[in-house]
Order: sequence, then C-alpha cells, then structure tokens
Amino acid sequence: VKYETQILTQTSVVASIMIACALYLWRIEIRRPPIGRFNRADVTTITVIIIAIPFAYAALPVAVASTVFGIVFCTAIQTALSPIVGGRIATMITLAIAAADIALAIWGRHGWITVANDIIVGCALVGVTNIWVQSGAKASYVAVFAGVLAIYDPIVTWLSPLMQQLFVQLTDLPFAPLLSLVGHIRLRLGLGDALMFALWPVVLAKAYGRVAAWIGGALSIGTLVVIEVLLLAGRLPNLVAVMAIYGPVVVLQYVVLRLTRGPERTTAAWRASRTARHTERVESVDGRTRALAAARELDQLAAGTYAAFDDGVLVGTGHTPAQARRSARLAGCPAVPVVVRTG
Amino acid sequence: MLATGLRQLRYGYSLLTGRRFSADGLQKIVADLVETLDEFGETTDEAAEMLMVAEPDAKAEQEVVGARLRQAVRDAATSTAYYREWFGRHDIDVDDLPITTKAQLKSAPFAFVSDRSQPVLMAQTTGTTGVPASIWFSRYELDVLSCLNALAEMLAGLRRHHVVANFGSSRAALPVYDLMRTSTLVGNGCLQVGIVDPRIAIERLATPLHLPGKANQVTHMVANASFLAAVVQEVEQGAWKAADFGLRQIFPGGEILTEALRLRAEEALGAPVLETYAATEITPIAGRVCSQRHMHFATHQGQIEVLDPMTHRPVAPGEIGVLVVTPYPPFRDTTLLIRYETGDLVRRLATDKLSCELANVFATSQVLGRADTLAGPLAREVLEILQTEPAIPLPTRYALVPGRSGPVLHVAVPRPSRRLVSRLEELIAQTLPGLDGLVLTDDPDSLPSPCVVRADLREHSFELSALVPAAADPAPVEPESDLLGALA
Repeated sequence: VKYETQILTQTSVVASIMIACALYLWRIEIRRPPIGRFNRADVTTITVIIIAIPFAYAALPVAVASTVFGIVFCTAIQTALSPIVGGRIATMITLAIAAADIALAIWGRHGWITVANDIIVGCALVGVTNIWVQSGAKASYVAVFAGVLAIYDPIVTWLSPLMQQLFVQLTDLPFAPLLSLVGHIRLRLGLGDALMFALWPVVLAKAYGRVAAWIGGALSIGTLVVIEVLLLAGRLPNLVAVMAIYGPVVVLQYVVLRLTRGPERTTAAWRASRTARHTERVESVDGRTRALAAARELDQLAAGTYAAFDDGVLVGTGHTPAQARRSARLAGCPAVPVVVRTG
Repeated sequence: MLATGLRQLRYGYSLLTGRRFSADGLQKIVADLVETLDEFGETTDEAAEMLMVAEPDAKAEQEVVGARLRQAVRDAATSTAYYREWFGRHDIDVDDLPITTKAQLKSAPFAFVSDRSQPVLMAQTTGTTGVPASIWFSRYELDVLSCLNALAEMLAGLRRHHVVANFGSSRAALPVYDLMRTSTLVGNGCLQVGIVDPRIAIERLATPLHLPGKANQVTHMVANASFLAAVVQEVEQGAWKAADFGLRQIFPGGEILTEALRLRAEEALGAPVLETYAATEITPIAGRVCSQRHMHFATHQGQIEVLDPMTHRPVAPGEIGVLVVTPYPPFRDTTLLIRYETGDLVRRLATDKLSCELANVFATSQVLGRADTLAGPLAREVLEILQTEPAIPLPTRYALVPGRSGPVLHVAVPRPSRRLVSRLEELIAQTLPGLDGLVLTDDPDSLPSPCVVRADLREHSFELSALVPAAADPAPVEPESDLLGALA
C-alpha cells in the first residue's frame, strides 16, 4: 500500500470517528448517572488506567487482558447503542461484534481481525467520549489529561522498550486497545491517543461551542497529518509518542480558549443553548451599580426614603424597602427593582 | 462518578442493614448532588428513587421493619433508664410493646437518652399545653438529619440561587439549626425571621435582595400554619398583591393546614403550598402530603401506627386513630422512643387502594385534630368551615364547650353580623350537624377556653416602629411623576 494511501486512510478513519462522536453528541442524549458527574477523581482514575494498560498487558496472561478490554469495549458500545436501538438489541449487536472479533482471532484471519478490532475501538470511542462529555466532563479535565499523557507517552514509548513489545504482542489479538488500520506497524494509534483525538473536539463543542470544536477538530487532524508525514519522511523514530506532540496542542488551545472566552459552559447551559430552554435569570451586577450611582444624584427625596431603581431609573419610593418595591410595581415596573435608602 | 457510586452503595448498605451512616459520606453525597444540579440543571427521576428509597414490597418491608423494630427495642431496653426499668418489669415482646406518652417524656427527659450517646443539642417542643417536651440530639443525628433534609429539599426543587426565609419560632432550636446547616450544604440563601409581626414578615418577603447568584426576593417561606394565616390576613387586608413577592414554594407545618387556608395562601402569596408533617420528638420521620391530600410516611425511617386512643389497638382502614411512631436506628441514637404517641388524630387509609403518585407508600389522612378533642367535632372540620369565611380573622380563634345536646361553637370575630351568623349556621348545618349552637364574640380573650396557636409565640422587634406609618396608611408612596423616567 502506498504511503499516501495509508495517510489518507488513517486520517479518514480518525476523522470519521471524530465526526461520529460529534454527531452522536448532537443527536442522541445518553443516559447519565442520576447523581454525580464526571469529575477530577474520574480523570485521575482514567489516567491511571491508561498508564497501567501497557504494564497490564505485559504482566497479565493475554487471555485475561483481552477479556478485561473486551468487557470495557462491549460496555461502552452497548451504552452507546442503547438509546438508538434499545437495550436488548444493543446487547445483541454488541455481542455479535465481539463474537466476530473473537472468531476471527481464533481462525487467524490477519487482515480481517484488524478491521474488526478497529470497528470495536471506533464504536467504543463514540460511546466513551459521549458518556464522559454528557456526564459533565470539562474541557479543563481533558486538557489536564492530555498534559499528563504528553509527559507519560514519550517516557513509555521512547525511553523504554515496553510499547514496542506491546505493539508486536497485540497483533491479531481480539479487543486490542489500538487503532491499527492498515497493518503498518508505524501507523498505529494507541488507545490513549485515539481517545484524545475523539474526545477533544466533542468536549469543546459542549464547553465552548461549535466554532471551538471545529478548530479543535482541525488542529487534531492537522497534527495527525504532520506526524504521519514526518514519520514517512523519516524525521521521527519508528514508534511515535503521539501525545508528546498532540498533548501540547490540546493544552495550548484550552489555555487560549480559557483566556479569551472565560469559564466553560455547564451541560445545562450547553443544552439550553441548543434548545433555547428558559433558565432563571439572576440579576446582573450592572443594575446594582447603576442604582447606587442614581441614588447618589437623587436630591428630591427626603433622607431615609427608600428609592426603587430599574436599570438606574427611579421607579418607586416608600417608607420601607418592600413599600418601594410595591410602589415600583404599581408604577408599572415588571422587574424586581434595586432598592436603596436615600440620605 | 466512580467515587459517587461507591458513596451511594455505602448509604444503601446502611439503609438496608440499619448500621450507622457515614456522616462524612452523606455530606459528600449532598455535595455530589449539588455538583450534579450545577452541571445538569435538574436531577433524573432515578435520583429520587435512589436517595429517598422506594417502598419495598410487602414481604421485604415486613422483614426490614421487623429487624429494625427489634433493633430499636434492643437499643432502648439496654441503654435508656426508662425502658430498662420498664422491661425489667415486663417481658420483651415486640408484639406487645409499651406506649410512650408525651407526659412520660416530659416527666423525665433524661430517662430516654441513651447511655451510649453523646448529646449535644436539646430541642424543645413549643409547649402549647404549658410544659414543653425536651429531646436531646447527638452530633451524628444532626449531621444525618441535615444531609437527609438537604437531599430531600434539592430533589423537591431547592437550588443554590433560592432564598429560604424561616418564620418559625427562633426558639425552636432544631428547625433553626437544621435550616442553617441544610442551607450551608445546599448553598442556598437563608434568613431566620421568626414569629414576628406579620407586617415585618411581609416586609421580608417583598424586599428586593439583589445578591450575586441569588434570586431577587425570598423564594421559599417556612412557617407554622397559624402564622401563615396571619400573613395571609395581612396581605388580604393590605394593599399587597402576589406580584409583590417572589415566592416559589411555601412550607407550612406544625399545625393543621386547611384546604381553605391553603387556597387563600396560594392566592395571596402566589406560590404553591406544600404541606408536610413533622414533630421534634419523632425526627427525622416526616409525613408528605400528596396531590390527593393523603399524608405519606417513609416506613424505612420508623414504624408508623394508627391506634385507638383509648385501647391502643390498631384501627381498621377508614377509622380515626392516634398517630404512634417508633423512630428506627440508624436515624436516631440519643433520645430513644418506642411507640411514641404523638397525640395527633389521623384517619387510617388502605394504602393498596390509593391512586395518587405515592400510592405504594404508607398513608393516612392529614392531621384531623388532637386526641384529647375526639369527643366533639374535629379541629380540621371546624377550621375548614371557619377559614372559608373571609369575615373571620386569621388565625382562627374558636372554642368548643359542652351544650345541652352537643358542643357549642364559640368563634372570635371582630364585627359579628347577622348575615355572618346565618352564613355560618348554614355551613355548620351542612357539615357539622351535631353542634348545639354558635356564639360569635368580638373579643378572643372572652372565649370560654383559651385558643392558643403557635403564631402567639410572637417575637418583639424594634423594626415595627418603622412600619407604623405604613400600617396607618396602607396606600403605597407613589414616586413623583417627573422622577419616573422611562416608565412614566
């Protein structure tokens, strides 16, 4: 297979997974836990798991490691499919895919097992990213996650033989935690890398909106293409620590967004922005400041009178704050005025 | 999510086995729910089922109730002076347990406090009968109570941006403490106002707040029914409208809330009235009134019985009896009470025949009156008639005294008129045919027996002097037209 074709295929597959994750987020509401949200403790747990994966594969019997990943992948796929086709059918489809993967591994169908594995990993990524994002994962958590992987990945990939051994060991195993595509060993993405590529644009869509998500997606694909080109040009070692390059891109985009756009949206605010759902209005600080300024310039009222202001305009007076509020209502002011005691 | 799940498992384990809750874990579950609401805006239906515990099926309920009751009796019999002495004279038989009356609790409050407990707070009942009952609580109980209340209130709609005003007595230590703790846990605003002049209460409700991240006015009102009645009266007679307030929910309690008063309060204050039943002695057990006006109790917190006030035998569905409650561990560990007779009369309902949203939860009628008034018409029946009549001032003052062929109803009305008498007589003839007569008096002090309500626990305030001009002239002070700016 030509290198250009490999690059195009790999990029297309990653882009397709990203689009699938985003479409899922856009169209399907996943069942979230009744209490609790995706928080720092979960990020820590996931980080530990991702870091432990290579060691676990090296230490555990292959069958045990494959079983663990099989359960994780199948749970994610079943959760993702359930809102679309219902729980029972989702379970049946998931089991069918898993059975096919195992059967292909047993029969030693080299090319086909790669395809089956990639389908499983892709579907699982759609599920996992949406479970996380729709459970309230923040872009800041994902950026921290990317930052940690950016440090961890070069250590485990370049400074130890562990990852090299792992990629060789995982070839043709069912539920292998990597996206291998066309069989060329240098163009495989580990589970952590693939997860970050799929997750980043989706979490940005929730946190900062569509434009940020598109930019995040473009940066992700751009980074992937650059890595592939450098790899094929021989400018990178055979095995690439993808997160060492992609991690800083994620962190940098988050820092820029945080500085320019401020705090990210909550899930409730994101859903409200999509459905124009009404949220309770809380008084702005400006109304109070304007009321204080207006009260200072007010000299027509006797000292000790309560004056009610709406957006800095006097709308009522009274002996007490409540009477001033009532006076404003009688004068036709629909809002709750800011009340200040004069003098 | 992972840590939250583990904490919920620990909570469920305590509920199932009766072992002590982890107060720290409960506080973290509250924090988890706050975080969930901040992120998602609303809870899912499963949250309520998980935290408030769906009613178990009959067999499971029997097993759990039996085990929990045995545990409660064992704890009381081994660690409290009163029950140790009682069981020293009688065999322990869970089918024939003693009734504990309010008089017994009042006579020796220390005798009901567990030897193993660490009491930190004494709460007293309002003592409308003269002597208050004292109940001690431990830090553990207070922590658990605050957390459970915080969870229940958030599931009922309380949010960080809401502001709760408590118009209950400032001397009622437990509710005041609980409000403060609960508000701290949830993050909502709160203010303790107390039983003040109703004009001050209206002032608090209508005053704009304009605090960062909070609603612009008080959103939740907690008050005894009689004080709520006094506020409704003031609103109806003054120049106030529901639009002057920002209330979202009103929680009356502690006294009988009639349907008539509920409707008048909702009209006057512009917010739904959600009635609950609670008593200091049986904390944290509480009754929740459903849309069909049944009072439901979560039986995993305590044994609820409806007994004949004379024989103390269970009454049949449809019959009236007195509410008798045994709080279970792990909810209580300090003042331990077995079969505590609340003195409140309710009608027992056949739970399996209910069709309300809480149909599978143990239910009685709302409180009908006190056990010592069973002979005459029930307090709720009388109040329901009197509170539909706007000419009778709120809170309603009345007395029932024996007449020739039945009780005579005396009612305090400032300006009795023939028309009012005939209207009331007509209503009484329809609903209370057993009455022998009706007497209207313009002085509440001249009623044949004193009619004491919780609104009488009035707390003095210097603030009243500032409101006097308003009371003399309820018309609002209009701003000068040239100052009205854009709205003129």
